[in-house]
Amino acid sequence: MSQSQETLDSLASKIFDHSKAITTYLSANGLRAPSFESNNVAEYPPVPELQEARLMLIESLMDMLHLAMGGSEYIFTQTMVVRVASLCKPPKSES
Amino acid sequence: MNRDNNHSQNKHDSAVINVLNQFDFFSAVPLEGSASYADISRRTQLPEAIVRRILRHAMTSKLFAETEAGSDRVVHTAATAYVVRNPTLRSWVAHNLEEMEPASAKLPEALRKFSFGKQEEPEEPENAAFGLGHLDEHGKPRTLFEFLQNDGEGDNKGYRMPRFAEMMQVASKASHLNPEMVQRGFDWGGLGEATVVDVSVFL
Repeated sequence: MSQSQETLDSLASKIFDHSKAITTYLSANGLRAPSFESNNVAEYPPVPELQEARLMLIESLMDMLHLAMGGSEYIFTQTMVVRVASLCKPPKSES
Repeated sequence: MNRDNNHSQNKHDSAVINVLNQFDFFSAVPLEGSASYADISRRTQLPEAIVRRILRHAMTSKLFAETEAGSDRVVHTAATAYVVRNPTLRSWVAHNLEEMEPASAKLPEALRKFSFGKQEEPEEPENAAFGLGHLDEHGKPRTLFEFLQNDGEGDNKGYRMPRFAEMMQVASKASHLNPEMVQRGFDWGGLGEATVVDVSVFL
């Protein structure tokens, strides 16, 4: 849990490596990757070499998200509750 | 390993930020140097074991860190140091997590109560999720402003109001909600003769 020394570029390179490990495994085994299509596979095969790469990919992506947001935005956006909670028709205007 | 915190853990992360804010963990750790869990426990007046667990969760979101893994010395990170340098952000967090989040949890109930099976949206401001999340002492739903003005005891009554005002200032100053971006990011002149209506509370 010590302070991470990662940078945008070091993370980008890790992300590329993890992503490549996943797609290489999938194509070598004739498997499909999840996509945004509604009828595609919903999860990755439960094999350690692929799952390890996938979890490390998620970790690097989250770290990169923090760096991309910078110190000022994370707490601000993470705590933001959309005003849908006050949802009701706005009062009619006086005009 | 970090968790996928912007998705599955979002509510737990909010709960932890709410604790950091209400018990002011931010001031319990110096900007220069570090604090032990025992130091933070004294400052926040929470048991050390709880302080440890809250901070360990926070650390998975890059909020606070240990100098080295297992060192038991806690330091600020970019996002928590930012709160110390910009303390009004605490009003933003308090408004969202103490006032709006209980209301948002009531949204399905509010829709079931006031909208389900109807063609029209409810008209009355108190017939919203906010009201159900903030009932008065007689169990009657309140609007946001009724709640802000009346919550609190004695001299403390209405304490949420100035905090709400401060929260609005934070929102209007936030660089990612900066009105200048809107001004410069769109070809307003291209509209010709036009009336533009600002419908956002933040701009």
